[in-house]
Amino acid sequence: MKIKYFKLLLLALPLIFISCSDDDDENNIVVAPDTYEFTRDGASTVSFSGQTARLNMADEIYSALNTNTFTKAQLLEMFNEGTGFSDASLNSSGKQVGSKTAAGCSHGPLATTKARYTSMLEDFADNVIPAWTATAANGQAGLLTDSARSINVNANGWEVDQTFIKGIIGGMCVDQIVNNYLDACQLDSGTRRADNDNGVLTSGKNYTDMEHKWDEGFGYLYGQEADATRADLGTSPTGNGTTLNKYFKKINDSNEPGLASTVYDAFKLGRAAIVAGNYDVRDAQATIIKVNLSKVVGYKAIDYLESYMSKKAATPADAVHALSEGYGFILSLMFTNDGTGSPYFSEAEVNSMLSKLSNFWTVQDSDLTQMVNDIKGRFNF
Amino acid sequence: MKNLNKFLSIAILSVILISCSSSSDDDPSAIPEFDRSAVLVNYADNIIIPRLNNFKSAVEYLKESADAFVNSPDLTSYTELHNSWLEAYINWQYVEMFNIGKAEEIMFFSKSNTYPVNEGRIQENINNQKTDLSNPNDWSCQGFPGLDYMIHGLASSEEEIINQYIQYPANGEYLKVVAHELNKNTDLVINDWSTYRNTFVASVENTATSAFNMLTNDFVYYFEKGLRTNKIGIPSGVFSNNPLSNKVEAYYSSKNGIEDVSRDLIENALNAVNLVFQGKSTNQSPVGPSFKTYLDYIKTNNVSVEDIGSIVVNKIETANQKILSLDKNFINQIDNDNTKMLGTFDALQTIVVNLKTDMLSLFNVAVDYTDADGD
Repeated sequence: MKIKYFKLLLLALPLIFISCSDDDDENNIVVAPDTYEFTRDGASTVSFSGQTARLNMADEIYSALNTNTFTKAQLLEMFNEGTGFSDASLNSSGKQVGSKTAAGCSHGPLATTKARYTSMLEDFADNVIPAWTATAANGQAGLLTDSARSINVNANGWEVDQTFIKGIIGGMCVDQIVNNYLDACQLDSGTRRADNDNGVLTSGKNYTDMEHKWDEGFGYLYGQEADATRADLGTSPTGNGTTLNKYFKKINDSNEPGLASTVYDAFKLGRAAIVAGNYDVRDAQATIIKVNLSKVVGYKAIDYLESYMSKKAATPADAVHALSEGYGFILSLMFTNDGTGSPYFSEAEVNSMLSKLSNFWTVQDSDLTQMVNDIKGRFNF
Repeated sequence: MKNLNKFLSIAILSVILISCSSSSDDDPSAIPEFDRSAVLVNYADNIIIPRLNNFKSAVEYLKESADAFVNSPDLTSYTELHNSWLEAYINWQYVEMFNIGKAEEIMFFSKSNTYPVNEGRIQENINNQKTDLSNPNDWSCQGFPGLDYMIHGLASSEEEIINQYIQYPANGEYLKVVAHELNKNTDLVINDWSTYRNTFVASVENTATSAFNMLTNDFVYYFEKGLRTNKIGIPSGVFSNNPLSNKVEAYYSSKNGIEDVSRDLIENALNAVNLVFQGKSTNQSPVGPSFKTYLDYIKTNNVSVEDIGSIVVNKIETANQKILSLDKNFINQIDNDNTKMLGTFDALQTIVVNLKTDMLSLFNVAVDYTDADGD
């Protein structure tokens, strides 16, 4: 009898699946390729040069914020116009960092938050550069030095290159992946799903719109890898650049080994699902990526707040450097995605945290500890 | 054993059924049918047609004021012209979102409220005594922004502007052309509703071309583009690298100190949206069949759905408070403290998400316009 019943169950199993296929999705079996390589008629369909350009732009802006040689106009030009870079290919790329900052389609442009980024650039040019060799104090921009490092800070003690670039990790890289390219508002916008089903290619290209959108998401993470088709990309990201990939690698090397492979495998399988027209599998992979890239932001926000508290007595400049990084990662928290479309911390919650961090000279350890606990709780760390 | 088998069969069956229940969320037929036609009837009879009639009266009066001013340009007729322009422009805020039927066909929205204007082309049109404004390049040379330029922008004070009409009759001729064109277009739209109304209220099927789907998309599109982007986003620099205060609605009236009306216009636009959302013909009317009652209905039938209707109503009030905190002169507000404009943009943007993502998916209505990526 037991065996009979088991047979009955086996018979029923396919029924369960068949009965649920309201479209053809489940009939399309998806197999991920070994590497992130996809072709049509023998030619690659993968392209993310625009993402590589923006990541390289972010690196150059970061470098500029570590010198006193750029004017405010030059900094804003690089951020907003996407020109004025030493790498001439960037200047002609037609891409900008600014237009993709705090701009994910699922929440739309966040104007007040975006102004935080431009304000940092303006503050750096207006106040930090003129006080390049002054001694920093509460209310006074200048140099802050200890045995470990020497940093230039603004009147509130922020090391602006850090607050800015760590903010870009969330505001551009993570946001563009988890709240834009891997979201239905891009993938399924207009006729993209029907076009993908019918093999309608983007005008003049070898890919469908949907394939390309997914690849653009991939590009914000892997766009600075010399070879994004190598077999060990998943297990061994290089950490190239100053933005997401750098911290993605760090988390994989420390807080959560295996996270990199999880994300990489989901990118591959999700892209294969698009080729197969299986959107349930695609969306399941998107959720995996959203949650895991968000965790990178959560981990680093905690790490840097804790690092500040442990370093501040012996090496205050090094501690402020960490707190500046922490500020940027806290800012980035509003661009995370818990897989349901909501950030782990809303814009209003992040604004509330940032207001407690507005002046590093008077910041309270009790507030920082509270934030650390809140983030751990929210992410289930 | 037989009983056990029976039990197991039922258990398996229920697994099958349970495994399918999640997909019914996407299936509108799973809940009792909501009467979409009742919404369209309320919108047509109590909101759209009455608003168009009000608008028609105001435009008629604007046309007459333009004729009278050109006939006898002085401060009295000028003030009358300005007031009638403002009255009609405010009424326009209540109809711009209904880009459906004849309005869509004749590009009523583009012809009536494309700004900023193309000053150079308007001057050419004046010099060439142009009367045919059907070329799309002339959209930025007519309608309310075109009239704003003609009434407030030809010089920098009322006296000098009036003088421009006394000295150069071609200015008056073009002013009349624009006013008459607006009146003619308005007639076309409103006359069509006498026959279109019955087609409209019956067109409730869930297709890209049904009136319900198109009106819903128009409403969301208007909120996102006509209201959020054009009135606040573009001038405050959300879509550019710097604020562009010369792109505010009714720019010339503020610029030359005639009257600061930009804030009044968006305040009315948001009120117009709020009334449509709740299905009210006036602020005093009770809530009628509407997007909100449809959302409430869905929520009643599915407790796990968020209360989008109330959320939107509350957020509209929040956005309204942000608008009321702005300088009536948007040029000054942008040039002096743009952060308040950005905050207003954010308050409107959060409503866009509720309408475009939440409401459309609850209605199972596909978005019929694509976002520009810039990539």
